[in-house]
Amino acid sequence: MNNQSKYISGFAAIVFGAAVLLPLVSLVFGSLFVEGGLMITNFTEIFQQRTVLLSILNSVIISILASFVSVAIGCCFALLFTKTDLPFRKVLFFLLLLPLLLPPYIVTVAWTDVWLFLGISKNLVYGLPAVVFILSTIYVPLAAFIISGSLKNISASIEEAGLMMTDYKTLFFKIILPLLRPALFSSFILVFILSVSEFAVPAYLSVNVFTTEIFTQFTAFYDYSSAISYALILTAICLLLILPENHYLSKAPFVSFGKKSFRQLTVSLKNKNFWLIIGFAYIVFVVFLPITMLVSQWLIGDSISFVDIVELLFPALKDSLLLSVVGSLLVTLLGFAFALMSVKYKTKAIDSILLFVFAIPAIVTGIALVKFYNSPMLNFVYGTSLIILIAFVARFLFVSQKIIAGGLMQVPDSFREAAIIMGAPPFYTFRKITFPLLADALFTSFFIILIFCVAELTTVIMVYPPGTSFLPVRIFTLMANAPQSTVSGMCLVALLSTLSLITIMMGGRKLLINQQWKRTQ
Amino acid sequence: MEKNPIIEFENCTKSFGELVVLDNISFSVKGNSLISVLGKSGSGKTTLIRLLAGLDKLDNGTIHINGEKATEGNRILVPARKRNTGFIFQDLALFPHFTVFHNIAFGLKVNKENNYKAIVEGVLRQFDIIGSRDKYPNQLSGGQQQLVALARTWVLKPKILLMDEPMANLDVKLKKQIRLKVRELMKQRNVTVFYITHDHREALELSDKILLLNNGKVEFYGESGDILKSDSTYVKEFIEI
Amino acid sequence: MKRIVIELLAVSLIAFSLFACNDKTNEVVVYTSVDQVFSEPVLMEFEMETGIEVKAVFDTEETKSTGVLNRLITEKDNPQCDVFWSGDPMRADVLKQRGITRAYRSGETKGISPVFIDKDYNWIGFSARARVLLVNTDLVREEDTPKSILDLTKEKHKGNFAIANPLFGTTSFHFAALFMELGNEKAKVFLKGLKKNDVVIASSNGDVKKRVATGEIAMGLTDTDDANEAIKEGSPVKMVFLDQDGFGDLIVPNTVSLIKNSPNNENGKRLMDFLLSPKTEKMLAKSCVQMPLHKDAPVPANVPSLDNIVPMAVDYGAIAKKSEEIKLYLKEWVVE
Repeated sequence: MNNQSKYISGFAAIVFGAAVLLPLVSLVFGSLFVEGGLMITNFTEIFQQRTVLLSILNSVIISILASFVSVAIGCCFALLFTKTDLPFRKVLFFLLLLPLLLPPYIVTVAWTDVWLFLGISKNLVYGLPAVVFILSTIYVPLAAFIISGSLKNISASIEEAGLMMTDYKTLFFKIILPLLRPALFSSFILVFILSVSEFAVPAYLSVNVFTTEIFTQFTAFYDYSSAISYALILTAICLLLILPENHYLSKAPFVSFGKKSFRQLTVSLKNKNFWLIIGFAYIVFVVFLPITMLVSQWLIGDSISFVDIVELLFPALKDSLLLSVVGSLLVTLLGFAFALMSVKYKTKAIDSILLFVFAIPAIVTGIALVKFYNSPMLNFVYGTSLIILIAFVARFLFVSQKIIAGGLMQVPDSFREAAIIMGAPPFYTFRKITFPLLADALFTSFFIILIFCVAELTTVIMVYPPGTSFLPVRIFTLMANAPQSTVSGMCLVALLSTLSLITIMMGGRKLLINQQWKRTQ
Repeated sequence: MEKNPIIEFENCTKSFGELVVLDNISFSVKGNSLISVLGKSGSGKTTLIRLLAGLDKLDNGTIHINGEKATEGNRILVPARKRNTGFIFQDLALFPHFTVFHNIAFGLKVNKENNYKAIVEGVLRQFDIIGSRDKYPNQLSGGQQQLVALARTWVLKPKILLMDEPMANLDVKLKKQIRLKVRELMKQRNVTVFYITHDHREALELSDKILLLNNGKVEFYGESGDILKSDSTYVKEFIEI
Repeated sequence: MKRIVIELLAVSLIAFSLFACNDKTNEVVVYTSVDQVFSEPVLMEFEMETGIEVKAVFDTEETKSTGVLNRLITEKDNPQCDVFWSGDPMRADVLKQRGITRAYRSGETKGISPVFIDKDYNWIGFSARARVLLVNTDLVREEDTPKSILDLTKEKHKGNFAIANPLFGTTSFHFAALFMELGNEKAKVFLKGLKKNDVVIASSNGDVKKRVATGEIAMGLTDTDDANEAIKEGSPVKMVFLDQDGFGDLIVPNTVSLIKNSPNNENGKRLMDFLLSPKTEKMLAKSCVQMPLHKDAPVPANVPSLDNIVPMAVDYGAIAKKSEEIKLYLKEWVVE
């Protein structure tokens, strides 16, 4: 690690440590160590309650199933949309993303409406399988996105070498899948943590999960000490995940060679129509069905016009999107610095700390931030949207770091060393060599974080400055007593605006990468 | 020890964690020679030339280049970019987002050479790759990539050229062609070449001297012809006599 | 390196400029758990009338919410908020017990019955909702409609009715009131009866309303404003005030409290006066059929009037404590 990247990483570490870690750690310690002693009783009490244990079990079952399903289906789609010559694959991939752009609560309401409309039994609708189904539909695109990035970097020569000896199926299981392990694991962990901390979906479907318990401690009992103990158990469950990852991935070969210097093998599908039908069927039945429900709810009944909805949401929309772009940029920058650290120092400590912060339930993060920043001295943070940026960093840095570290591992050291031997100063090397080669990972991080930021409700509602207004908060608070058609309409407008923002950025990205490559030369 | 050596390793030790890769080795090299570095994989060949290039630090010992102390223990006294060495990596490390022209121009531009365009054009002609001027590395054949890597290094006029088994994947004919090129260049500019290979026949054919590493120690170092006369059983086994 | 520093600076600058204007002189900060659709127009009216800028933090009563209440509790040592406008007295009382609110005896309390006012003036009630049974008229015949909340334990309603989670929102308030009215023993028997009768526990009052309106379930306990929404949407539903021959129906007033050591205390008092005025009650009567508490206030035709409803006679100040007391029991009861 050269001096410059040391400065960058050091700066990022200080910012993160002071702005995010300090508030969280002081809250956790403050509530666990009361009058000089550790509140062990909290934990022993928790584990003595049968209902609590059941809720932990529910949480774990739901999250494991949802992660498995999301990763499995996501992997299939990643394969289908990045490795084959399937017609319309880019359009299909884009459409696949849609469920990720809607608030999970809305997706749940839409799905239950669809099911009840189709006459499916209530006992089936309100239950654990439905939670797993809905969470999976939301997180399939996330897994597909991450796995696809990794697939793109498998050199054709590896596959071709394999194809000399065996058919594609064996090749897939023996060669490609093992090479994908880091990506599969990353997406599994992400989906697991997102599912385990999801509150709205199980609550709406009357499934008692562990987050409900945490929430109840906060909102019904106002018992912060217990609530945080509960939250720590959840965090511990998530941290347990990194152990097998450690064990499993230490032996996993990372696909480590220069991007673009290798050709990518495109598999020519024999029965294109069949796969096309599968792809379209998924989009129609899983993506479009709930959206169609929203559209019809918007149009039927006391239909509110598109313009009225935009007017209703406009101030929030503008601020929200702008702040999310800034937030996503900031998170990605920090994510990059932390990726540098974790890859160069080859330490799991950084991953563990970031995972810890990510796995802490959003409401705890929110309370920690309020407790820490709400002081006359720090009012320039708490009273402004800086506090929201900090909340974004706290919530999503882990995701960004994971994505970028994956990219960084695929840029060989020899590139950097070659440049240095030729006399390039370190920062110049970084700017001309490492950065452009990382552009893909940086953009992926930027997009995913952007989507998360636009939708983040729990922390934002805890910390947003009075008198300002943010999209998810506004939709959420308007939702309570607004007619169904308005609620559905609002969600569609939100979906549309996020979508257009992403489309613009994707267009910009194409231009930028081309430009960047030209400019660096 | 050679007189007025251009390179001198003095009691150099290097380990990665528990693993001792180079164990107290010493040797020196005089200018304008081609040294083949031989040894089984894991014997420390790559580490040796990375130390020479200034990419890694030592645990103990000193490396002199041109009579100047370049590395002393874990301190790099002359940084990599000031050592006037060229390094051809095993994976060639051609920048995938640069065209051939810009790959070669990179070092010149970094070193503020204003006339770089003309120089690059010249080298492209000299290496017979002018037709690939605006192609990206992934559009080239293996042999052409090789030549680009060589040209990229050559254009910076190194006094020491370090090659880490760069031709492992080439066919015999191409290998020969490139070897000839290296020889020709060496003579032209009075360059010292370190050439890593695990193929002893190639080494015998190509080099002035051979350095055979075994378990972090120098098993043989001398004129390439002399290796055939060595008494060491390890050497005999290695070169299959 | 330089570029990165510049980029970071730019990021923070943009962030700052977004909400840079922080004129503390003429503003008031209000946190409210009353649905934004209804509370926002009232606050805008206050802004127009007084020229005081209102900065609001909105939230909802839905169980999904983490609650402005948590924020108020966490902000205790350095209050940001001047006025807390709550949808029910219970939350206000939680703040009172934690020493977060202070007394303010507004001049507007004159017309309001002392039943709806905290004895220490830490919260004052105004515009009220009532807890009602929302009934889907396609699914329940007139003669089968329950008249008392206790009827819900009858065999013929088995699996046909929903309530929101009684740990949250007005439902928790309702259940605490029932415990006070019936006594712990009887109340627990009633709750066991509900479970035995397969009560559906929905995530919120809005959720209850939706399920009844769509006919997913026949009946459900909810608030008058939710019920009214269903009626307005044209669903085949009606609202039933329960126990009109018995202990009465629970009235749930809005409350407003002044936060201790808040930055704009004086403006806060003005906002409180405004919220407690008959004018606000009129606005809320119109927008979400809330019943005015001022005795002489005019009541629109579609709004139920307190004059025609038998209210449950409860000590509002004591409900919060009762609620604390029964929460653990309720928590077990929900997942049982």
